[in-house]
Amino acid sequence: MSQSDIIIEIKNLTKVYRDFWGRPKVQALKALDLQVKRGEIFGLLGPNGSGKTTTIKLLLGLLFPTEGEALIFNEPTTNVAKNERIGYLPEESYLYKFLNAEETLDFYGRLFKISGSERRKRINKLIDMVGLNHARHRQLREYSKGMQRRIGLAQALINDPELVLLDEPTSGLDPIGTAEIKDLILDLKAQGKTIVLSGHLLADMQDICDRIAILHRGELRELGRVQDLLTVQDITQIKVRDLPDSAITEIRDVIERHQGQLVSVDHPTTTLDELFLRIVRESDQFPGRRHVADRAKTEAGPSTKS
Amino acid sequence: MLDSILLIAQANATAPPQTANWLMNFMSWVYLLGDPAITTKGLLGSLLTWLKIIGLFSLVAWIGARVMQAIKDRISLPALSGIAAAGIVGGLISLLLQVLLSTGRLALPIISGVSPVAILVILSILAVVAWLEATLWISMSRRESQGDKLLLIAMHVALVFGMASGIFIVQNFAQVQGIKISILEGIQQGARMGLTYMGYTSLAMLGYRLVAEFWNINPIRTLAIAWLARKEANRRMWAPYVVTVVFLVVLAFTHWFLQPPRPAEMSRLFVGTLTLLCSLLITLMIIFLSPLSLPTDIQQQTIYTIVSKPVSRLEMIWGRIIGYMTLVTLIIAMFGGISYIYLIRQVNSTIRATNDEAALVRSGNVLRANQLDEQSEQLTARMSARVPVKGSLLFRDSKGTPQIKGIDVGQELEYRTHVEGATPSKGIWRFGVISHPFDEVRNMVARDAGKTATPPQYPILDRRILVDNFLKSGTLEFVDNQIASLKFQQSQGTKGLESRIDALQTQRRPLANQDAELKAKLKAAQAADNQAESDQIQLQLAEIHSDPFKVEMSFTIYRTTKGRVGEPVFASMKVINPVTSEQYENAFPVREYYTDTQVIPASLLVGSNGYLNIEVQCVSSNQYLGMAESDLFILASDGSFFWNFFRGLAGVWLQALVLTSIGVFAGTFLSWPVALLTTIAFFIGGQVAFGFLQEFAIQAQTGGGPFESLFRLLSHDNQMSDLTPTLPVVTAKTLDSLILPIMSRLVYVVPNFASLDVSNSVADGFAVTDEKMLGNALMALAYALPFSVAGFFVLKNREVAA
Repeated sequence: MSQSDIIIEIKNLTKVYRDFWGRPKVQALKALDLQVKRGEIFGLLGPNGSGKTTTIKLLLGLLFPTEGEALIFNEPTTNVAKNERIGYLPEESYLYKFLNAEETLDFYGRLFKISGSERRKRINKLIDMVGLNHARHRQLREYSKGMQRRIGLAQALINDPELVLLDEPTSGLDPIGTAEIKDLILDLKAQGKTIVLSGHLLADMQDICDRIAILHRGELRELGRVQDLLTVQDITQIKVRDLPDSAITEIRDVIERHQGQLVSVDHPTTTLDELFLRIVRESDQFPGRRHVADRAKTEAGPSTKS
Repeated sequence: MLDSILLIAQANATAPPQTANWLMNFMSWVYLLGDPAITTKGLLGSLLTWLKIIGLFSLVAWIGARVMQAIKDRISLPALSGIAAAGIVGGLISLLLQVLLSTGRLALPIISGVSPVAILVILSILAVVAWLEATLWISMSRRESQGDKLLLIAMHVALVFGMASGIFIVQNFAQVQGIKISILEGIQQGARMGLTYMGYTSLAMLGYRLVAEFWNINPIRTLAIAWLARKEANRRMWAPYVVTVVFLVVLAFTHWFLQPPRPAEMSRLFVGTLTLLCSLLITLMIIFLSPLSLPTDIQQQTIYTIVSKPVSRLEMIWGRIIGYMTLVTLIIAMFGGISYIYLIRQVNSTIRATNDEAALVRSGNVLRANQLDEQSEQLTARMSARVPVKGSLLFRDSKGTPQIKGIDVGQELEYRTHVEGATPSKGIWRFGVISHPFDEVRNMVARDAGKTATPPQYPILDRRILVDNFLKSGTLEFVDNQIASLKFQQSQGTKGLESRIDALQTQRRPLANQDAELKAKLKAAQAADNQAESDQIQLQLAEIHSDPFKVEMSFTIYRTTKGRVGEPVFASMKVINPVTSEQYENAFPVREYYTDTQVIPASLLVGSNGYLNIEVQCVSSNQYLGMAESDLFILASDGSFFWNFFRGLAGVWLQALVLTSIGVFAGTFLSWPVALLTTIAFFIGGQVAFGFLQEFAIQAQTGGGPFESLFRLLSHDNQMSDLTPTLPVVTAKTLDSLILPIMSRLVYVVPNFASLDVSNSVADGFAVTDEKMLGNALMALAYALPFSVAGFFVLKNREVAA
């Protein structure tokens, strides 16, 4: 892999928070080594206080490392010029509440020296994309948390960045908003952008990340492709539609003949997220009808366990 | 001792065995640049002083930051910490010993001509320096910054250069003077100069880093931050709206509570009050805006979305300053416009009313009508922008003896001194390149006694009148003055001026003929009582003559008898051209509290080379005329009040600029309440207590430092009484001697806000000159720039998300 394909390179990155007297208080990050490649969606996973946000802040130069270094686009994090190619959505939507959506995007656009006409074009596109057209002239202090998250995401994309850093992007969003953001992230990946996101909502991360790093108490516990990490190698799952019970019995016999240990035989279930989305979509399609649950039941079929 | 370094060079030039002239000239410059307390005149001197102070502060900041970092990183070794502790303890003990010695509680023997306390001080300093050196070098070796390592090496080179130069200069001085000076004095001087040169080195590195930042500054981004600061002020703080409402409310009721002590003082009172109101409101607005912005941004974490964009820290600081100053500019323009219209309406209507009343009472009460005329004149005079040419005042007493001051009539609060009526006592204003009054009085006494004058001991004063500004080009006086100037140059030895003099004489002849002809005609017309023709001729005469110039004065009267009601005290004025001996004399009634104007023929200035003497005497017996130097001046021009009024407001703008920079700087590292208090403290220190701080800087207060003062306060001792050297007194004095040198250096960071305020000149009807404006603007920049740059470095090295 060539050097230009490495977007982020973290070497031995360590952060110790100290008190006023310089005494170590918390070791937020311990000798982290990572590489993020061009065009991938990289997830930083971990419980609260695991060092995800600290890592992102170190990458952006909001914090200085105690030891080690981080390079973005092969530049040190203290180099302000590298930020031209970066979009960042903070953990909370830390935006100026006295500005409205248009002003917010215009202001951040000016920080990237985007020309007036281009700015207007991008502002319209982004406001449309995050679905805030109806509230574009309202000050952000009147926005709900979800709306603030959306405008926050729009400001992170105002410069059409190569690298997008999203700190818990779905925090505070309803399932529809979450799904939309996930779609948007996949769309950004399709455009060739590199995305680094942090979070602790495993399902969200599982759906969209190419690779993940799991942090716990500032230490890297796991790193790799999501598919590789989630696949249970010693278990085989066979999914079949409309199989009669007699055939199931035969399959059990075959497994026993080959000294296999049958763990379970069941029917796959959908996730709650998917069910909720389907309900909402169907109710949009057929307003006033309440047969969704039944149909879902029919579609899912009976469940058996052994 | 070393203040006379230029004398060393002079002395050396004549003394045979010493160093070469070029080296001494070089060393003079090294000394001028290196000694922190030495400077030169003019802009270069101011720039040099500024660079020295900024350099020393940047040096202290650089070393302080590295040492703090090293301490936090636990870099220092235990043995080094022990040395540092020993140095600090040794320093404290030496201070205590010094206080005990000075209060007579202790007597120590002198060892080989050196005091044991001095030895302890040197050892303590060496210990602290050793610790500093070790800490810095260890810290640098662990860090990868090549720039810092280079700077540390360059600083040592600068220190060695300064030390060597200081020792050389002191030794050379001793050799030239033929005196013996201890090597310790050389080392002391070397250390002073070394520190200054280290400061320059640190400043150079700072400048180098800043140049890179300047290069990356983008106006679009900076103006975007400025726009944000403005929006924040408008929408979050509501500051401009609040100050506008307060201003309009106060203005609406101004005429209720503003009652001038004399009707003629109305414009002064109104101009002063309105400028003060503008200044007060804008200052309050800035105090509440500038220190709150950055801390709030950091506290609410909105700064994350800025720092993660390609925005330099300098853009964040300057953008804010520009944003607030745009607001200030708009508000000043609005307040100024409203105030100006209000003033003009108020004053003009008062002038009209006064004139109407004068016309009404003139037939019945001439005295009252004259009074009203005077009031109207004064009101008009104050609504102008007079440019004065000021002279230097000295006195002759009633016996004719030269004096620095006149008679003190016992009025403690009165800064004027008096000349006695109907005696030879007089005040003499001298114009030109003249000796200091102290030298002049001494020489006048000598001359009166028939002795020769002695060389000046005080600086020569340049109070020349720029004659060309008073004489209209092409007039008789103008040509005469040109001829006189050339003849003067000829008398000084300049050759080849004959043709120019001849040309001017040719130019003069028709003018002189025309003048003689017109004067003859005027005489005839006056004899024939032909007013129309005589007016016509006078107009023609005015064409070929320069306008007379005005001398304005405002004297007070101290009466030993009441006199008759309505009868004024008279003064006489003699204007003398000391070169041509031409004189003009007049007597006039003194207007108390008002300005007197005397019109002097322009011919008095012809050939004066800018020199003139104006003598004022009190004519009325038993009365005294009070005068001070600024009470009499030649009126150079009468400018537009409109522009002068806005120049006065520009002073408020400059104050706001300095205050904004301080507020933004404080916000880079302090929480908002502390930043707010810091900004307020700076403003109070610079506006109200600057005189006190200046005294503090030179440690000239009576009653000792803060600890001794606290002791006096608690023990009910006054400031003057000697304190018995008890343990608390010795402790207080020791603590004072520890912190006073540090505090007295720190007061230099407080800007003199009061000097930026020129509203008094505007209110008094004096022009705020271009030179004054430029000086004030440079002074404001001299503070605003370092504060903003300091803020940049703090913000750059600060973890905004910590």
